[in-house]
Amino acid sequence: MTSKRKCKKKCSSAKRLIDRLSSLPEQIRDCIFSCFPMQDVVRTCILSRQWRNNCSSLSHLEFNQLEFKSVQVFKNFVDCFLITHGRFEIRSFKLVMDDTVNEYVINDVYVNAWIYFAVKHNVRILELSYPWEELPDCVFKCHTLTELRLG
Amino acid sequence: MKDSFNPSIEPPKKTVTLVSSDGYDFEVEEEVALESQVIKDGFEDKAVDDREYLLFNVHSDTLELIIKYCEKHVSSRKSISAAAASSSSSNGEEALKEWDEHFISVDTNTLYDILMAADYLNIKSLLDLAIQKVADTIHGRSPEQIRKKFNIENDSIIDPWASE
Repeated sequence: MTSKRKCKKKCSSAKRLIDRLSSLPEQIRDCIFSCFPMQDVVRTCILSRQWRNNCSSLSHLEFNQLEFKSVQVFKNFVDCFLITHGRFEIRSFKLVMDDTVNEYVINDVYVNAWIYFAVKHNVRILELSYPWEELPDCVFKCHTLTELRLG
Repeated sequence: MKDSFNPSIEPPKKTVTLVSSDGYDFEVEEEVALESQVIKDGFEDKAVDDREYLLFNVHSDTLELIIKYCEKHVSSRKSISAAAASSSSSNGEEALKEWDEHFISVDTNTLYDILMAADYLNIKSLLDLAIQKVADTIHGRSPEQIRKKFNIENDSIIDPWASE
């Protein structure tokens, strides 16, 4: 049951050719980005300067080695992404790697540095799945952490 | 069996008034309005005769769509649970999914309006639907196609795609 009671003359809704997507609120933009893999998220930074900024201020980061064709490419991707990430806070950080990780390319020192990055950026949800058994100390000293998932 | 001569058997449905940003009043059933978490929160504290909500951020055109969505979902939920109770087979959920798909197939401006309204009113299923639609529209398209679709001006100094 729906009724419009007032009869006000509607203003003509002229086609607005404005870019509204670029200036979406951060939480909605993050949700949109979380629907596709990080490589595709990064590709959108080519669209405009605003989109480049959007990419460097993501708050949900997910890196899955299985989505990359080689471990080296994966490592370069994560490194470059984190270097250009300008945002102060990260809500969630997910890292997935399997046994095929070559220790000469990615070892625990690297991984610990990535996790340290997340901790320094006040991560709240940390999800880790990798072939090493130890967790870096910084995880236990992270005051903002509310959820830790280990695979 | 229902007595068709005595309509008072069914109690009158309670309604809520939603007022759009451009001043239109929409009278909707209570359960339809309660699809919005924002309205639901604190609903009981409001006096029954004061159930009017001014939605400053939602235009009447968008509110009309939002109400249509909520009404459909409320009625579908009822028929799905009724079918489950009588253990008769039903493809209600499939049909609703199809309806959603058709509902959200709108132009980018309307999609944006729905997205913002669903966020403002906190209607989770609609917000998820709109977000997925935007993601699907972006995913798999070339940068030029995305720019055209969403009217994004390319102000990058270097555009490696420009020569293509």
